[in-house]
Amino acid sequence: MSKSLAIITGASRGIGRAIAVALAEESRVRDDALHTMVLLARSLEKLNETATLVNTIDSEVTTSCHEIDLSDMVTLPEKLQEILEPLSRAIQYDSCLLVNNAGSVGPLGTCESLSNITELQQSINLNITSSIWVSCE
Amino acid sequence: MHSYMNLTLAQFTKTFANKCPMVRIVNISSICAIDPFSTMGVYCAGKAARDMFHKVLAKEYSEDDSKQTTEEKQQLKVLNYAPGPCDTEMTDVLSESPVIDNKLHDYFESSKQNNTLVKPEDSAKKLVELLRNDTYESGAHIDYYDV
Repeated sequence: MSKSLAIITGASRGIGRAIAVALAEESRVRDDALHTMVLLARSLEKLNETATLVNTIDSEVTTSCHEIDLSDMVTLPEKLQEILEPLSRAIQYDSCLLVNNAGSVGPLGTCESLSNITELQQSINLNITSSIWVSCE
Repeated sequence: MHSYMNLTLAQFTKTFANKCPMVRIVNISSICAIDPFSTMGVYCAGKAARDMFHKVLAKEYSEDDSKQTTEEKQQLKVLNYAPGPCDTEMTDVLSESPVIDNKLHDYFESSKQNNTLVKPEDSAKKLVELLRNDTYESGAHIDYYDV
């Protein structure tokens, strides 16, 4: 039987959670079921809620939740390595899917109104730097 | 240098591209990656940057000379998926923001009230369908309303 892996960032709510649920629904009705689903976000509590939803739909999927702050550039490389490296060693997967979803909407306002460079940097860190880092390596 | 990097860093493509026969990367994008929206400059810039980076990633794999067959070139594919204006906490923020463009504010506020935003589960189903069919061109930007 083929083994597939899905990793979803920002899986604690919104579209990330909906994608986790949709993948579980797909897994339940397909022959090549999802083997492992890895859920990442800042809130472990909400990730666990997503995992419960997933396992209610398809109890065969192994869910694994990891608390990670994707806007923290200092800890991101090491934290991500701790999550991905054991996954790549444990099982030979036949297909691997990354859903690079995590992001934020702010700061909002006209270009002229931008006033807080720290807030701007944080937004760019989460929405660009971290997204590139998670995908590429 | 490359093997040293492999030993020290472990992110997605580096971790799985040479081990897994089928790798798929979805960047959750937005119409904001394509069109400018007043008062959402930072968000638009972020989404545009993410899209372009993922297009480059797709191009690098499609042009990889070490991969001879179409199948090998298709080993890694990238999709920029714009999920549509979904009913999530993000659109709550937009509908309540005092600094957002008036037209956008009215759109999100009335869409919230009339319950006409895209349901996240409907958009997620379309994404799963795209992934199942696997016919999209690697690096493409596909919107919920295109499917």
